Amino acid sequence: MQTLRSIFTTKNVLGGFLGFVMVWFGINEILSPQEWVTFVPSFVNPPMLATLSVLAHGVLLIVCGLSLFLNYYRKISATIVSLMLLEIIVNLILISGLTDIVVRDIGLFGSSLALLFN
Amino acid sequence: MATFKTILFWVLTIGTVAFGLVRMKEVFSSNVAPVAPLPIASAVVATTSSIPESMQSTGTLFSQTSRRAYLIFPTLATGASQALDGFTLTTVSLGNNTYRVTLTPKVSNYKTQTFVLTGDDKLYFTENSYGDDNTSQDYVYGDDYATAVNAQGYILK
Repeated sequence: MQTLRSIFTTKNVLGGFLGFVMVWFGINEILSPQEWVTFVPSFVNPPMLATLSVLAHGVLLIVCGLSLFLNYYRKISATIVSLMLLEIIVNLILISGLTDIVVRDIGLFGSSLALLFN
Repeated sequence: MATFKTILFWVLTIGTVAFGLVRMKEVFSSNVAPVAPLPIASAVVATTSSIPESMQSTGTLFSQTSRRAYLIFPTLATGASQALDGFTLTTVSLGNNTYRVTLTPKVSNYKTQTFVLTGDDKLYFTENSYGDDNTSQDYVYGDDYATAVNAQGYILK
């Protein structure tokens, strides 16, 4: 029981699950970038550059997700993830207002902040 | 344990970066843009001869207003069917090279969009946030709209 408690600490559970979410979205962005270019700010032109930025974003998400999952430089990746989520939240609010998706991302943002300030 | 974790992290990171670079190369080589090619603007001011009675040129070039649009009439561009998730596209020939194109949402509380177009006109569908839609449902209808454009690339109203 004591061993389990030492493994399933708040930080490990939070980092593991948040890392899984980041890796999942990162893989999706790399495999289907055309589904995500709509979220790229409009000043990123031409469309080819938007696609490339989605791919780069996907790679960054996966690397940060792995870092959170494996507890390897977790604070640094939590900082990057927090900034990315904040950017996503602001962008989504500008595109479609305060939707259920934005509310979900606010929850993820809170999780990343918890990891950052823990 | 720490060594194993470090090795695992860097192996997966290098693999991810390599895979990302391969995907970027694929995007470059295929030269597939996610946005359907927009009509090239002619220097000539749009004429109304080819515009149906119900639709008039606004004098605004579509290529100046939108970059997230998919051609849905007269042909369906790559990616358009996915952008149209949540809508049913119906095209009816009215004769005399005129067509009625209807976009019917799959939820009842959203407005049906109908356009009467000639065969020379084009209809583009703009979907700003389809990354959050699944294959049969659109969660954010407010950002989806179609724009009719004449042969010269001007928006019709």
